[in-house]
Amino acid sequence: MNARTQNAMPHPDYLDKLFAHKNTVDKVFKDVLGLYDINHVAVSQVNENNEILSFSSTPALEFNLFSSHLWQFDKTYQPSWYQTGESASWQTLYVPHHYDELYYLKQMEHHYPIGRSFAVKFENTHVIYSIASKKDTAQTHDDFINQQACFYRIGEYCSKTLLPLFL
Amino acid sequence: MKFRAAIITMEKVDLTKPFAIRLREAMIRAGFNSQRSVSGVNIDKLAEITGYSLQICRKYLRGQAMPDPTKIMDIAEKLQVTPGWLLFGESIRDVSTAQPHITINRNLLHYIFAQAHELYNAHRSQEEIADFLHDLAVDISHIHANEEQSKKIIDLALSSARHFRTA
Repeated sequence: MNARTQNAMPHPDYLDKLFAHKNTVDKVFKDVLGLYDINHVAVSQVNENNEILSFSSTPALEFNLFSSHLWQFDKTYQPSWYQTGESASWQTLYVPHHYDELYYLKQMEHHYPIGRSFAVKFENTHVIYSIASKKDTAQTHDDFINQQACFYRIGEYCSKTLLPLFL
Repeated sequence: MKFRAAIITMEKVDLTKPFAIRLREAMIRAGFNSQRSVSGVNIDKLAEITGYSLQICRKYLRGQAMPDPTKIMDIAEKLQVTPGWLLFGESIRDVSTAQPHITINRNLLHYIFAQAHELYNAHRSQEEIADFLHDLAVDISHIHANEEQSKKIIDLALSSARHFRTA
């Protein structure tokens, strides 16, 4: 299995880092929370060593995902999906056998009926923007599908601002 | 190719014109208007408060260039607006309406209060400290961790607040 298709693994300090920069991270995400009814933003990076590192406006979500085995069944963190550079609804990224657990852990517990992940590549790293909303209106659903260029820009702003924390 | 299309949509050029309009608006609100200047704002003043060259400030105001994220944060701070507003233009809506109650382990809440005393000695507003501790309590209320792990997370998060330079 070569590096290109090798599955990513959480960084050894993944869980600690979610909270170690909380003050800085919160300030960045607060700039974008509320836009387009966004209530959750997370930026995950898969580095050259295939290590995943995340910063999140709702770090409990990523903590619960990665402190359990469930992240392995979320295609968001599988190269077969994030290397495509596409976006997808969270629910389409759950491996069917673990759909209920993932839907509960990521969405029901935090009241996020809508969630979408966006994958991009920056130089030698893959970056995933995860964005979710507590609103379940037709307008919010439309925005999450039709305003994707704006969501990519929001993700880009957050990831570039947080870049020093990934190094 | 969809991946290439996604990258193209992230080009900063899409944001430069709206950014220029909001930058001008923020400058006028900050009192940096000028009747002598064609743009209606005092470019010298922008150069002075940011330390950037007149040439690049002129480009920002003409919508011919976009600052890097760190510069956007710097400009926003100097003009007393949020970076999110400068970039995306929308007002930040209240996102704290969905769940008015927090359920948290009594020992952990006590631990947060006990460890947070140092924050009140720093040069930061009470509102800012209250927001930070509120968000931390929400995080802790959602994580699936034992008491020892939760206390470690509280320590990490509070440490990030102690070391952060106040805006």
